[in-house]
Amino acid sequence: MEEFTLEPGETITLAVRKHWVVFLLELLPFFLIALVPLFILSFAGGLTTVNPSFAVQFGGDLTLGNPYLRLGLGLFWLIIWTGAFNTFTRYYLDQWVITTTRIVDIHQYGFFDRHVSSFLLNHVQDITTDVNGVFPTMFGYGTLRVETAGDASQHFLMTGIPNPEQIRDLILREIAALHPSTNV
Amino acid sequence: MFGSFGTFGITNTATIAFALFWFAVVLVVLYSAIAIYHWTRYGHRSPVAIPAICVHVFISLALIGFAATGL
Repeated sequence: MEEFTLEPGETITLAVRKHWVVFLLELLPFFLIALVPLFILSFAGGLTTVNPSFAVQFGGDLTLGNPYLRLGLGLFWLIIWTGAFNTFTRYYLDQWVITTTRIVDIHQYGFFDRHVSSFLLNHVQDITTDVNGVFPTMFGYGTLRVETAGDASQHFLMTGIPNPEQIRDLILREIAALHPSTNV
Repeated sequence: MFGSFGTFGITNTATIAFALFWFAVVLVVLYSAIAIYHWTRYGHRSPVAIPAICVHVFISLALIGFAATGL
């Protein structure tokens, strides 16, 4: 891990990313937008078959035989692909790392904009899980909210993580291990 | 419309298409360089990093090649 250095005796218990369904749902708009020109071309092709003057009215060939159409389509898909890859990059470089002493929240907001926050487990006051909706319930992902105590009470969210209840239990076990004499 | 871009002549259309193409290529090359930098800096230990970069470069080149057939 380049983002943070483990303290002596500290080990990584779990590193977690968003659920793959969350990633696919973020990718879906790119896929649908990429299909739009094909539908338009198919529709225009159908109109041209019915009424050959249609293509003439719109300046000529409305098939992939038209070089400008290929150029436009290629550049359009290139933009869509860049956006989709950007989504994948952000999905993959976002991470939550649970160690024996803290939770590290690594968030890639954009290129050259990476935030790394650490929350000490002995400051955790409350953990709430939320699995809300059809897809989250079906695929088992949701939100985990961790409240921390301190001078200024803080909280952070782990959204779209797989099995939030199991991760909550893991965090609670790690907290209990930090305070073996008390019931947490 | 696609044949002559309205009132532009075919030479103007070709020039604009050429400029647009290279503008997009430069942007994609810059984007790819930045993305590869982030992958190699923050995800280089992951087995996904190199395949992800390869897939991105391959698909980008394929789409650039497809667009170039329209020049």
